[in-house]
Amino acid sequence: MTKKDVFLIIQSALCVLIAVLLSAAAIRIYLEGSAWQAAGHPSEWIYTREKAAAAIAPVIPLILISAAVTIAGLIMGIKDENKDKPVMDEEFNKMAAENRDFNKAGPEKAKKRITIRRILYAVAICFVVMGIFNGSMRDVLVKAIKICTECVGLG
Amino acid sequence: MDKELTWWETHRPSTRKLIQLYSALLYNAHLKGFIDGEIYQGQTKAVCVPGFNCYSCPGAVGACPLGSIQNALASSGHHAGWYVLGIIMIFGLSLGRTICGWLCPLGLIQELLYKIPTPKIRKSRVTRALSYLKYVIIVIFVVSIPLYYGLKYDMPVPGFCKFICPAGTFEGAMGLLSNPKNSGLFGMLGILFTRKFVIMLIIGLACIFCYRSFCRFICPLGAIYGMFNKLALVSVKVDEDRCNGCGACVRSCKMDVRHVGDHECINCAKCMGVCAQSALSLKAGTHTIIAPEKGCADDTPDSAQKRQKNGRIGWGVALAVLCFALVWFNFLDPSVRKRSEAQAAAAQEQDVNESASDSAASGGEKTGTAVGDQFGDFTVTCLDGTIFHLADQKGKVVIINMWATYCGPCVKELPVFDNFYREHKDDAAVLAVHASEVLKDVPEFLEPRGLEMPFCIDDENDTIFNLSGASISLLPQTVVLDRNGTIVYNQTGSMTAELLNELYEKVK
Repeated sequence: MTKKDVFLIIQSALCVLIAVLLSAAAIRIYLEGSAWQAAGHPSEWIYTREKAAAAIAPVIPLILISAAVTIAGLIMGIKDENKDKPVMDEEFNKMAAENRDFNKAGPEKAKKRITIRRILYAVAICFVVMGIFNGSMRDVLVKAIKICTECVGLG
Repeated sequence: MDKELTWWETHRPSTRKLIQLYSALLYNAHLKGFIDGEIYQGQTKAVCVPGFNCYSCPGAVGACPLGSIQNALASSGHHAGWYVLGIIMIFGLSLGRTICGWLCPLGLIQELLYKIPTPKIRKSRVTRALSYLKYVIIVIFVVSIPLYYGLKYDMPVPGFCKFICPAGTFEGAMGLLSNPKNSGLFGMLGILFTRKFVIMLIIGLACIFCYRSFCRFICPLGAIYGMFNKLALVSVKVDEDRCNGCGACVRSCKMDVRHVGDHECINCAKCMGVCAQSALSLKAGTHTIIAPEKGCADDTPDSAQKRQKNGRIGWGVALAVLCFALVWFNFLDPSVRKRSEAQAAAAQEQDVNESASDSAASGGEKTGTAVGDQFGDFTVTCLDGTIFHLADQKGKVVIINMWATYCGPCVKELPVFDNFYREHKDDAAVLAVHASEVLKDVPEFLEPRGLEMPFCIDDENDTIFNLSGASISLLPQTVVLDRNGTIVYNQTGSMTAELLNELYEKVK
């Protein structure tokens, strides 16, 4: 195992650890808070800014270390060398061989595509105009300015 | 001998990265929203942006096409969502998945996460099989759930936004929660937030190890645009005469493409760099946008120069547009100015109230939106023709619920308020206030539900919404007043019967 491999493994471990700790913190806050609510305190909040800050605080040093390691890795040019190498397994070899035929358009096929595209453009423009008149454009506006809290994952 | 490249030359952001960054900034040009903790409410939100960008992000100045299509499907019992369908078709026919590769902020985030130096998972049969998962997600979360709840219960439930979307959690929820002015929003967080937060972390982690994991395996918008890829005006084209079928393009591509330009191809044009034959180019129709090193077969001697000149003009225009957008969306837009004026007026009113209560040594009560403040007086005509005057309710516990027909949780919790109203009719007043923006006939919507409590629609100046301080346009919101009209509870988020009873017991 080279030094580079060790570096990559340490960085992976840091990333996984950060994600696990943050997930665990969120789940812990939720479980404790909902147990407290169920115990006869329905108006108590499950999450508070203070609880969230206290849960994130121990993870911040890890995030900073991970950021520093990332910057160092980028400056030193450390990366998984395999990530930019072409995939050579059998399935992809077969696909690669078919690639040229797939993209062979020919004048007839190309003309057909242009015609279909033009027809669909006309249909799409008709849809937009119909939408402006049937109120679906207003739907988009109203739903984008009056946000339903469930839809953005708040609650 | 080749000149050795400097660190900057090998690491500087590519044109594609700059365009990704540019579109992220343009979609989120309302930078003031991050400072104020409020979302943009101008008319441009009627237009969908091409990329994946949550419209609840404080900076967003356009609507998310995926959120809009789910809401359109949920409303299909009333009218067809032709507008969103048309817009998505125009985007798909013009750009196809070029949007994913060049114009999607979430794509940029995924690519930046992938830069974190870790061992990487390369594409294989497994990732190729997983790439079909996004079609399952479209069927279940984008189409079936909104249609089912929309048609059966007349209730909008955007399944993907509600259960999965990491953009909603990151840009919307985190964007709003990170602002200290929105501390009150923590009160509504529960299982939904916990689940979506963990999902966001898992997707983020996957993107570090596996190139564009969300884009390849989950993104329904990419799957929709992928269906247009073969027809799209802008795409990577293969010069048949130059291509020798070596397949270097497919092998080196990090997406699960089978062929250049198929439904998985995001037209990032990276394959142009590995094609020894210079057979690939990014074209818009017959016009070449990015040519291979050797130039295109149909190039004239001055084509390269022309492309360079056009590129410079393009960047100039784009920067001018961005500057204009930043000035417009932060300072000049009427909705932004109206809100700034309202904030200034509210601050002034608060000062007046504070000085008035200071001068009244007996501790006179001030009007406001916080717990302990007096709720401002109002009079409104209810849908049944009766008049609701807040001052007349003195001596009763008052519950004001802000809702809208197009808000799923609002509709779901209406029976909670109605049951409460039936039980405590003599001792408590309940008023359900629909937002001023109306999409459906409210009396017609309420009729089959058999609700007894009084309903009204807020006026065009959003008088009751403003009195409750519902400034960031999040629904639902509930205000509970004690017998003297003092606010004891004012919270955005869903209400439960237990909580409502506890609040009632508290002020009884």
